[in-house]
Amino acid sequence: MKVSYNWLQEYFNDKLPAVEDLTRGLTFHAFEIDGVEQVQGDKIIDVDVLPNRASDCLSHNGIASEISAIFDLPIKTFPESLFNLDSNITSVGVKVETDLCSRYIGVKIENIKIAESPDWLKSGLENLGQRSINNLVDATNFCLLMFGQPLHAFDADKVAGGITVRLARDGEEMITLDNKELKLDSTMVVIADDEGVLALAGIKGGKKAEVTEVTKNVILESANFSGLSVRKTAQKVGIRTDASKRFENGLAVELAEKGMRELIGMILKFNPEAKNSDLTDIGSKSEVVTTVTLPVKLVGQRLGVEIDGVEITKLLNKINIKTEIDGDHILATVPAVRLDLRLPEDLIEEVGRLYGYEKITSVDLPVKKPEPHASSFLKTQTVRVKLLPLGFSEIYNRTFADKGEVFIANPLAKDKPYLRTNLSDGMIEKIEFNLKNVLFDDKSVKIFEVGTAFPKVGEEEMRVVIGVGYTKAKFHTKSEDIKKALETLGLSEGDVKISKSETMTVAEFGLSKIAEGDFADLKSFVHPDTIYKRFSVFPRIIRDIALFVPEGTTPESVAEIIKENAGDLCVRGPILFDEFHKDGKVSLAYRLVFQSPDRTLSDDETNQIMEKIITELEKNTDFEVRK
Amino acid sequence: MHPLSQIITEISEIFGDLGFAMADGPEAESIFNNFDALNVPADHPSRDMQDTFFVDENTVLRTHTSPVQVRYMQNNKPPIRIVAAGKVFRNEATDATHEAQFYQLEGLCIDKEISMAHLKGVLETFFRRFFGEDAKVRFRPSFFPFVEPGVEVDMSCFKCGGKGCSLCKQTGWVEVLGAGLVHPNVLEASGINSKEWQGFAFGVGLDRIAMMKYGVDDIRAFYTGDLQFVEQF
Repeated sequence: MKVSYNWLQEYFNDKLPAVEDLTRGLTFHAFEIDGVEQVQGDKIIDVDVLPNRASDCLSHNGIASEISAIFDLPIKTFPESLFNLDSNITSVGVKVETDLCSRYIGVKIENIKIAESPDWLKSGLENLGQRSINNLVDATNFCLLMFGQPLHAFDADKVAGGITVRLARDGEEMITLDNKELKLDSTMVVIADDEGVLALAGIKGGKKAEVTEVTKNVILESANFSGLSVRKTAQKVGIRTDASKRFENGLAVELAEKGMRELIGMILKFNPEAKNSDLTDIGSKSEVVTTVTLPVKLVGQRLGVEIDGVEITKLLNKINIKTEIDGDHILATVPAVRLDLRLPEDLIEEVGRLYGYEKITSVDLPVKKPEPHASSFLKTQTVRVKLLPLGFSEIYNRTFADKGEVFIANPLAKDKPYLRTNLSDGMIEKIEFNLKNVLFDDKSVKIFEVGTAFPKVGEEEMRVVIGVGYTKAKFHTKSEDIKKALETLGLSEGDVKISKSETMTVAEFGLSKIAEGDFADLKSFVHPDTIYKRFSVFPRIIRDIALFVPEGTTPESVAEIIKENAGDLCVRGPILFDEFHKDGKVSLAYRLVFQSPDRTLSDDETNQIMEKIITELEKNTDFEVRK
Repeated sequence: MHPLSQIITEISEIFGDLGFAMADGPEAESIFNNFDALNVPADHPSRDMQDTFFVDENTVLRTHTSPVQVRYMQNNKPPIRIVAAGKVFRNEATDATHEAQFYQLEGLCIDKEISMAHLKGVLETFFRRFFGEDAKVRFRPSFFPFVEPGVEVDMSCFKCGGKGCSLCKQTGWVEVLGAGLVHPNVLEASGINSKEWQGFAFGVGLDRIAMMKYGVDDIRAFYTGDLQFVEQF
């Protein structure tokens, strides 16, 4: 909810705290603030009003009340609305045929002129992210932002007969103000005249009685519709509006009249010649009064602070809760707009946030011996403690897959609408992926994962997958890694599902097959002080360099020269991978990996670096670089 | 070891010392356990707070680890102290700070006369052992349907010690988790008498605290299976 600092100021005779102090107060006592935006002559505060406070705080009135409570600033009393109800024009005929509408107020206003809004209203709405349309529509939006009560206007000359609030007929059609054609059904509430649908109740107005530049006479609506019904209909037709959002969360029926009176007052101010009818007001005029019995002791006990009945009532009174102390209980009468306050716990939260959570001093829990850990945890840790020392690294793969048995009705990625049936497919992919980074053919990729597979609809299993891969088949053939890993876990090849290719072996099995073991040694694999270094995702270039050096030259000293001249783009190496002695000389071979953090490296660039290294090496006249 | 596994290992020890056992539950969860039993009724706007993947008309991919609470309360008598670490799913566009799958840690303590002060105490111990001895805890009012009161929990920035830096956006504090006292409707839905027993619950994104702790700048890195990432830890 975006609110205007200037508008909020109008609620108070005292000067509001500076915007930084105001938002800090709101943050620690009411709402998270998503941001403050400086606009021409005003500051717009974006308040994150969550569903529990939607009934009263999706409005400037609501936020002003919070500010009043938090900063102890009294709210001004406003003069009663100015409009004259002694009009002689006929009232609007309203029939309410469904209990999904608990209140409907209709008013007719004649002889208005649709015009541009005055500047204050135009810029006021635009600052709050609304589009200014004309002085009538803008007035309804202004009143919505003031009270949180949605309001609507129909062109009275386009309404045939009276207003009926009823369920739509199956297959009935309407065209919305923004020209969407909707097919309605009998679960939806509509506003209709004697000919057809005028509006989808609480969601969107229709084309039939649209207010246009030439409108002279209007019917205004201020109503209260069932939140559940509005929500279901809005979901069905796929339209969400500022109005539907407020109805969905529930609104007090009292607001309908407040919003309507303000709106009439505004329209009459813009149109001094206009005449209004009386209110046609159908349905309940007020919410059932809610009184909550709050045990005084419970407040301090739950919050963990020392607080007495007098202090509690003082805090509750700040947010317009009437209180009466009755022995060791407080009888708290909740204001109509606070549809969220029904239980003692709800009131305890109100006391807590106004009292200030910062005043809570932490207390330790009494000592308790823990129950046994879940078996899945013990087994998972056992797998880890057995595989990590064998040189396997653990990965976490993704659950979504391009094939499977369990289908997601609303997938995020259209090409991965399934849940994985096994862990092996993902493991094979990751081995292939990691093999691209292996520098030597005799070095393997060894990884494992513990995760959930969804083999069939309604089935879910924790599984383990272990994989080993080489770039060349001949090294893979000789590998005993999987066999050793399974032995260590107490399993044989018959217990697991093996997938094998020339260069890769992957073994998968249910976590339940593992015996729970001692995993105290896992501690040595926990490195809380690790500082992560970002690595490049751009392709790397591998280069080798081989040279003859005199006997007695250490490989380290040669590596040093290479390193010094390889520059920042050399991300790994020099790695000595070959060394032999021949005719009083030593042959040394090193591998280097070049990679840029922010681009694809060119061969030319790498060649230049290699040239430089060779030139430097050859400055030692007894070094002979093999080319 | 994968950084998330390291964190889970650390957490199981810290909370083990505080009397909490590790608990678990399925990733494909009933709508009842994921929502209704947690005081998020059908057709209530609070269901929109989490973007949900639907498996079928009765099943979702759990949007949080909170259904583990429900399962544990249904099957065990209080007093209860559990933590549950596991994969959760949200149907949100992914970027450096959002993943459709991520890890969450759920904590639940049910006992007699449990207060917000106990919650503060436990979280303080957790943060101090996990992030460093100077960590401080701060509550801000918030709303989660399954707790009342509900709070957003900030921790003093461990990187700058509260002086203000890029991690904490110069505020000296970082938002870490959501918590509160278990809503009586949640206790009652799982067959626990809310007059007799109370408790606190909290939920924390493990990826997020891992990112903070190790300085990882992209949440997606945890799930790429890239050894260049994993082997740094």
